[in-house]
Amino acid sequence: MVLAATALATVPACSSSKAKTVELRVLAASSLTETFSQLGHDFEQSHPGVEVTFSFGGSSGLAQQLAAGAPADVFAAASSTTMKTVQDAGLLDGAPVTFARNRLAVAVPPGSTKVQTYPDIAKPGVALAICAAEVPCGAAAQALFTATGLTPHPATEEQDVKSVLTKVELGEADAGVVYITDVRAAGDKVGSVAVPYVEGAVASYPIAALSASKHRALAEQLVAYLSGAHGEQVLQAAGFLPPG
Amino acid sequence: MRTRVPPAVAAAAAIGGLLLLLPLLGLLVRVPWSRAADVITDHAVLDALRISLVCSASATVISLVVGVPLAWVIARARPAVRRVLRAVILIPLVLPPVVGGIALLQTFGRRGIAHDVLPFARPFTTSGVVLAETFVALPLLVVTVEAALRAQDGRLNEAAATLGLGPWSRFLRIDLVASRGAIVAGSALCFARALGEFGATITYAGNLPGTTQTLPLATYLALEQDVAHALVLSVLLLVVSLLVLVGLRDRWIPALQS
Amino acid sequence: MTVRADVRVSRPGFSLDQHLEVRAGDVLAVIGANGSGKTSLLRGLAGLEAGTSLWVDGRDLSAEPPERRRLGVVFQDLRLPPWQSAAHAVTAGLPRGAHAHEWLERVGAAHLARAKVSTLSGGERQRVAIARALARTPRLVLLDEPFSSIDVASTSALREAVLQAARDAGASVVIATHDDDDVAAADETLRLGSR
Repeated sequence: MVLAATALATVPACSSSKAKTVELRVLAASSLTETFSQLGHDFEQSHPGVEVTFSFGGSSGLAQQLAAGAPADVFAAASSTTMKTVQDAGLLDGAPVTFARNRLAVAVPPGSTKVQTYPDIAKPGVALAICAAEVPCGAAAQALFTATGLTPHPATEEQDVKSVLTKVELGEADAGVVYITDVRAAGDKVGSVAVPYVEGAVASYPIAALSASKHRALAEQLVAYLSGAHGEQVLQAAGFLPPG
Repeated sequence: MRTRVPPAVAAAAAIGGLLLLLPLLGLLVRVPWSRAADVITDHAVLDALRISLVCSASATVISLVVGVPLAWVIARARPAVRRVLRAVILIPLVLPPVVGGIALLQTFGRRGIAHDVLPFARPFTTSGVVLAETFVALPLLVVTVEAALRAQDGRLNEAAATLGLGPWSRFLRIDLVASRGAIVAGSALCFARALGEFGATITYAGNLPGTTQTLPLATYLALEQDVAHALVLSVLLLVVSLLVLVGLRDRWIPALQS
Repeated sequence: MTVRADVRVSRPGFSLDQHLEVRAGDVLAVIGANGSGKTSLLRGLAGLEAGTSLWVDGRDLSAEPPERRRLGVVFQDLRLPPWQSAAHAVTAGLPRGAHAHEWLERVGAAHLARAKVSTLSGGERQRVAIARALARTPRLVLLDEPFSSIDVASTSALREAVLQAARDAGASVVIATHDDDDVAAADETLRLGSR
């Protein structure tokens, strides 16, 4: 009852302020925060009367929100597995497209000498932070370790990649396995060490319009825009790999 | 005659009760009971349960040892000083736990301003979990005990002084005994808060199964992949805290009623 | 033993500056209207208010905390811990093995020894509080309206028992009271608030 009252109060307020504005809601993985915010702004410039709003979060959390009926027009995940659960739940009409990929890197505190090459992360006395195996970046890290035959003993398995980065930035961890885009976004707050390219450790970013969208045509346009040439340019500038 | 409940009060109370009860029901209805046995005999789950119990109990004991004296000092301070002290101890209660965890990192972490003070409770250690839980749960004990100490206003303490009891005896034999109900209640609150602690723990102590992964951390991560698994863990957490609270109440509170 | 004191208490809206002397075994009755400072005077003597000078037999006890003044105090609101038994209340703070029985008997409360304070009536509690004050062979007995809840028929016997016990111990007694019989039993009377 309370919720219904709130919704009723909100809807007229929105439509009265800008009579013809169409709002597109995008749920997107948190690693897309910087790039998608910029792209959303660019899309609004070329499509007057359209407002793109984002809700960034962990991919699986967002997928659960969608399954619970959260209203949204577009979903972009940091893992094809997560996108598949949404597709299997019948929340998409078409098939998702992969618009970017992301590879791992080792983040280290600036000026650190403890970890200089990738195998150093497995040395005794090195406090290593990785993502928990339950989240995509943790699964990717495990794939990397298996493929390279390295068995590091992490000090902590964090709930998301930003937490890994925080532990490195604060110097609590001597190294953290994160995505290369996270290292870029952190600027000079962390240094980085390259890791071997392992196909199975590369994260795919799929995007799709949701069947529950009230503005299907516009949502499809936004998907095409984000996965198009301009999107690719912005994403690659941030360190993402092309969809391959 | 029984007091009649005014309708408006009854309605508000019913809404309040339902707000607390319905989500619990929602949780219990959706729990896949057939999987419960598998989940709670999983050794990773048992590890998390053990760490949760040990750390919450340790945090409660530490809170008792330092929190009761802190409550005593606050209760006996001059009003102006008391207001400041009480505001300070409430900070961890209003701070988002994650921010509390960051604050602990900046203080007791490797590069923290007091990194040598608690070298055994560094991040990524089980003692670190206890530190984070104590930070968050201690205020509940202090607030509860302080209110009880202030309610009795030092009058019994003064009388005991005229009987020849020194400050330490008065603290032990008068003030502690007089506020024993509040000490038990505060400990229960403190334990429950520590048991459910998530944000400060994962931020300060990290998450490593078998070392720092408590049941709430395991539950949160299980949500990423397997909601059913997470539901079973939540119910396990619920049952444990209910057992502890009911056990404390039945065993201690009637025996202590004066 | 002579007790000599300069009681100085001052707080917003109230101040008291009173010299008094009580010989050993003597009783000083303190009278005066409510708010004239009877309780404050007793608190000053007990060391519960700063600013009071106290000499007992020429020894300066002004800086001593209450627990080192060898007092026997009956507070107006009694202040018996509700969880204690009457016997426990009487022996609290005394060396191990101290007996409550004799003192409870003197105030006619021997049968209450095992009863919990929280189950006693007002008059019974008052008797226990008096026994507690006397049991520690005090040098200075401070009584704040100690017989207010005792029925009239028993008051004089109880008063006699209390004053006798104090005389036996050689203690000086200061009793704050509204009761003319207390005043009559005293050796001297001090009226507060008359200036």
